Amino acid sequence: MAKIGLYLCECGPNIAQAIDLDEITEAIKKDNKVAGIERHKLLCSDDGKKFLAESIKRNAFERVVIAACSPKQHEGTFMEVMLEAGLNAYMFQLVNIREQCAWVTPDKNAATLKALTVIRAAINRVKHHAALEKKEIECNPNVIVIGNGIAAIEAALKTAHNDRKVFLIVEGKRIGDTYKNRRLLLSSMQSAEEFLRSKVDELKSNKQIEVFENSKINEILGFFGNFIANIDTEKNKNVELAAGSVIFALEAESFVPKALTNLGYGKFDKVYTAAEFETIDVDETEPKSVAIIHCVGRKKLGYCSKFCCMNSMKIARYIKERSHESKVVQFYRNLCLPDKQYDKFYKDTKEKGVEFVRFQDIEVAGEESRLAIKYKEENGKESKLLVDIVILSTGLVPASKTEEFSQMFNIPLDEYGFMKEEHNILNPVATITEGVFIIGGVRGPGDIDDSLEQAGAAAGKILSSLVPGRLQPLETKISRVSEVICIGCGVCVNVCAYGAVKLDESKHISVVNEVLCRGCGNCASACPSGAAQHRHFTTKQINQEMIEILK
Amino acid sequence: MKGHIITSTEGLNKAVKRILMSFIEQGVFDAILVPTRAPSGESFVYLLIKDKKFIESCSPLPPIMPIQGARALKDLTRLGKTDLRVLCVMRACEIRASIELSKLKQINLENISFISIDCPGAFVTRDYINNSAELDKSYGEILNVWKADNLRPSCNTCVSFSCKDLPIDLHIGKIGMKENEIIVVPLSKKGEEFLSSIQIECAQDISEWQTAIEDMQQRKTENRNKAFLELKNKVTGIDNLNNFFSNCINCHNCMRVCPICYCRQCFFESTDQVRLEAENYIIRAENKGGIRFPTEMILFHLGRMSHMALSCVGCGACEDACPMDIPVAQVFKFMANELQQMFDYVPGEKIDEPIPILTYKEDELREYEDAQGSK
Repeated sequence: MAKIGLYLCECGPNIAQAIDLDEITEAIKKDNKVAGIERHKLLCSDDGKKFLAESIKRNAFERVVIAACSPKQHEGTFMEVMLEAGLNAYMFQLVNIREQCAWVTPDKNAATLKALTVIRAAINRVKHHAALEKKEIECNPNVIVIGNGIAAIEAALKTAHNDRKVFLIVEGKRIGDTYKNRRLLLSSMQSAEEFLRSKVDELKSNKQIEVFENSKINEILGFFGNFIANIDTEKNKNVELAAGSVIFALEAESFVPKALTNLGYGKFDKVYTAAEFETIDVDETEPKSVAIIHCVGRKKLGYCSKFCCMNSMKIARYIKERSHESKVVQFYRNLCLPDKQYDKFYKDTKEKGVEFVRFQDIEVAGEESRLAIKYKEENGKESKLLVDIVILSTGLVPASKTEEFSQMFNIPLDEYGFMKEEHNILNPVATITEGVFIIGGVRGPGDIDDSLEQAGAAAGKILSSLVPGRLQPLETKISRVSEVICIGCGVCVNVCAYGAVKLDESKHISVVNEVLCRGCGNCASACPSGAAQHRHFTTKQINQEMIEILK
Repeated sequence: MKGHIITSTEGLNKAVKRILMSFIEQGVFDAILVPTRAPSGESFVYLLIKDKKFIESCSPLPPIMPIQGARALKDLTRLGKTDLRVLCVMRACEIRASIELSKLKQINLENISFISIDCPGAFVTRDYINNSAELDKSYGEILNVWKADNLRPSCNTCVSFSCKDLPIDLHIGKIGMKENEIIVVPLSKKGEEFLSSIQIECAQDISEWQTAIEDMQQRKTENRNKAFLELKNKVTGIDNLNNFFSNCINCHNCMRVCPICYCRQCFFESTDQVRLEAENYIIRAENKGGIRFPTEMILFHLGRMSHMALSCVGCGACEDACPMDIPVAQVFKFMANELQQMFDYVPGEKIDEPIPILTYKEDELREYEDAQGSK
């Protein structure tokens, strides 16, 4: 029998006051299943860790159970101490008698009994622990960037570095195509073309960046540190590119209001979307009066696209700057001016003579050769305005390719069809597939500033995690499939959210990719025969733990 | 839909054999997988026939089902497709199970075609072994009157005895036909082509046969609902279930003959995973006053049920193989019916529809949350 050591942490008064540790010590001694029991005031302190390491060595314990706080808090801490004490980090079980006993069970006797039960279960479990070895792989530091807008360009520029290459894949378009369709940029009112040219020059002069325009991605296989993309370029078919990480920077697309005939779109020639207006020849039409209607499609889309209010004002100012005489009226329900300089932009726009009208209802009708805006103001007053052209300020929708790419990488989509971040606050540019990042319009609507910031964030993540020559540690607590028991039904393949389980067609069994597996255990729970097992949550380990609790 | 009526005084099996013979002779199929009487004369096995001379000895619709056809087809194609074009002659439940197994990658359906036959049910295998000559004779009569009180109970409650909703090419109808008639029905475009290759043009009205199926369907559904109602009280709750299975000797025959139980090794037979140290059993005995051995009896049945109930085709093989006469199939069919309804899933009905356990959908959880009432 392996020598098991039990350590009880008082966690200052946290555990000591709520649980009778003496009683637990007595009971465990009576069970006679551990080789020694020690107690400490605060095991996670420097003093506590030193005590723990020395005590394990002195007593020559082979397996260790620590009854203390949540594994979320200190499992890692104590695993390091295990290594220091010369043991495998996984020959240890942390029992949570603080959050799950001391803090939630007010009655001291009940809390003590509960703590005793879970400690006994852990002792039973740790007997069946196996030593797990950490594995590392060498990573490829190159980066694949997919997209053609500013987010893609910026991400390529930011990640290009002397010792890493960046492959910028532009599917079916030229780099920066959509910028050629824009006159001015927000909120600097800088020329979009100039801005783009400077960025593209920068791209082209950077020897570390290779741009593949008009290309098609056939597939991207692999995992963090080792992706291989197969693409068709303008010249060659099936070009293979190897990289350690992938950045999706597809641009969002402008919403096209097909079903909104009450605003005259598709009915009258001179009703444009904001994106269309950017491409028409204004000199030819020279509008004397313009109505810009905000939030078109807002209700249908279900979200605010953030950039469109500012974009409407940008267009208004562009018209005003060309001809002071023109009348420009902004019809809005709500204005979205979140950034620190946006309010100023709004006030400046007003000062330049652009009018703002808040409406309840609005309709566009034809009247002789002009367009009539029939609207109900905020106070209920019904009015009419005759204009030459109408611009519909529409939001952004996911690029049509988004879904296809999301399937390629098992990246979930949100309810609107944008790719989902791993966590919108804690990890906003990462996805659940490690090494795959999403920036710009592919993860949601936003303005250029957002794209630039996100490109920087993704670049930072990649530069710090994929350093050339560095070995990458892999998740240790992963699944494995028994070749002897597996019969290749594929149930595990379907439940794996990480694409880590694949069928080996020649052997007719499932195989776990040790790099992709995150150890969630889905496959192990779905496998009917128990062929798929989580290495640190084996049926035996869970069984032994449960039996102790349920007996 | 049209069919082709064949009039013959030789009986159903002989007529079907003629069709099979034509298929081989015309080169429509390279081989036939079909039940054939075992040399003992008391049972049947599946025979993969390459040489047409063996067709004469096969029994397309045997009076018992000692081997579920899906298991035979699994043996043939588990490691990959067959390059031969194989026609499988099976009962509807065997075909349904085959389709389920194909979804679980245990059967490869490429180059496989099925021909189903209206099935009045099968005898209990043990009854037949003791009395085969007499039962052979009475099976011939059953095919005409379509009624008997000595068929397996699970056959009496079977509602997929014909070809309704079977995604296959060919069918032989018998129910409602005259004594000396059978009807050949193509169920797909491919089926029509197969038949025209052997000079069977289907132009005859089949409504009489279809009406007979409807009537039988109704009768069997009534039988089934009645049986389920009676069963419900007997198997609700763990105590009732324990009683129901109390004769079980843990032989696991039910699992071994089940077409859907495809695991190489059943979890409950992997001793290192389920066996515990003696001390654990003693503690359990202490707590309860005593514990039954072998252990894991009800756990085995519930575990097996949870794994296969979505695909259970109600073929009754489990019950037929139980040496202790436990009506296993009935409780499995009952559970399967509830579960399949819950997921709006019919096993073996659509080849492309994945089994619900093979799909992983986030909104399913939301559905569950809604059902629980969001808190």
